[in-house]
Amino acid sequence: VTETLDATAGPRRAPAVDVGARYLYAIATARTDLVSGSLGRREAESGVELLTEERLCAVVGPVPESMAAAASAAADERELQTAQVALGALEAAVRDHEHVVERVLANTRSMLPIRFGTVLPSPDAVRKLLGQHKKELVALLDALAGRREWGLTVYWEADLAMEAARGRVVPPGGADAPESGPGHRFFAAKRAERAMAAAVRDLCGDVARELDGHLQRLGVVKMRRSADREPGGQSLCVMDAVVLVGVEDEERFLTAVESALRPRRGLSASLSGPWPPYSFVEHIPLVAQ
Amino acid sequence: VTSDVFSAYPAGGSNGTITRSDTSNLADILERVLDKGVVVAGDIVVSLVDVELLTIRLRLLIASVDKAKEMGINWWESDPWLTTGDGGRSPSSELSERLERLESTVERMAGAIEGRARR
Repeated sequence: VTETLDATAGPRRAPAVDVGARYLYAIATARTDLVSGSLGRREAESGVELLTEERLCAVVGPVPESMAAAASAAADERELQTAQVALGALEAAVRDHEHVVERVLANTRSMLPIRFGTVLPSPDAVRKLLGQHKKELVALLDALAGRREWGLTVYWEADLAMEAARGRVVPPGGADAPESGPGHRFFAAKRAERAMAAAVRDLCGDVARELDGHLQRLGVVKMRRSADREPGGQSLCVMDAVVLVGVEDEERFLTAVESALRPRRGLSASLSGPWPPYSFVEHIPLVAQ
Repeated sequence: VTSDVFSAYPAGGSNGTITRSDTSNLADILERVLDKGVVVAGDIVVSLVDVELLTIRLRLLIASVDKAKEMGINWWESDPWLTTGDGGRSPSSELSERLERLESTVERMAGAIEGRARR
């Protein structure tokens, strides 16, 4: 069954791809909350439609013009010479993709965002994909129902982190050398700097584990990156994570982040979202046959 | 002791504060849309190889552009081959250890020279 959101709007054609090819944005549960017309006018005018196969539906459309432009930018050496031009082409394509995915998220309790740039040769191929992977797709959609992704990065003002870590510094053992020479002083200073860095890293690791413990009670936490180790300046990244939180727990999640930051001076956080659960479906390979 | 052993980041805000951003930030979108989401593989998938190529080459370009960090694009910092991640061994940690061994050797040599000079 093909549900066209707006029957009067013709699909846009991408120059390099067959007209029957379908760009795949997302997979959702069919006939529950995602219905014809719910994605909005812009999507309808772009020919975005729902393809259903039993309990599942795929949100598809013709290959967007912005995608074709991005592809031609990639093929053009001269455009790639100018990062801004190429970035502009990619930005338009990525934003078009994300806009549709966000609309799906806003209209469903459960959805799987598909990797940017996925095109299948025909609507039938899309339905076949849904049919072949029905079991795992339904299970995944059930597991993600009512949950959204949040990006959380926690920073610590470097001076305050070092102040807090001072008690943890292990005095470095010196090399077998006279203590008065300039060589010794140079290397002793370097060892002291490394000892302080190790103490701060150690403390940042403990703080990240504390935060993780608080947040695990409200959602699934996935670390993207742990504490910093690279040269830099005024603030340290203590934790960079994505958290999958139930919609009804989002207020409690925000409160939990606030209260987890409070005990230590200089901690602050940057929070982004809510996102489709991009980071929680990345290891789900589907094979189209 | 200075703080130059750590990365600079735009501070999330002052003490205990949370800076909220919506889902319109380009760096955040790129990080998710280009790298994550369900992957569909198989011979029949229409290959937009050029787009794939674009994303890879753009990353190389961005890595050489000073504005990358300003834009908040820092994907390479989570690459296990470029960082030490969760304490695992990587080329950078091996290099650090080698550097420490070399410095220790140089320090002993410097000490011996300084000792002889005093005598």
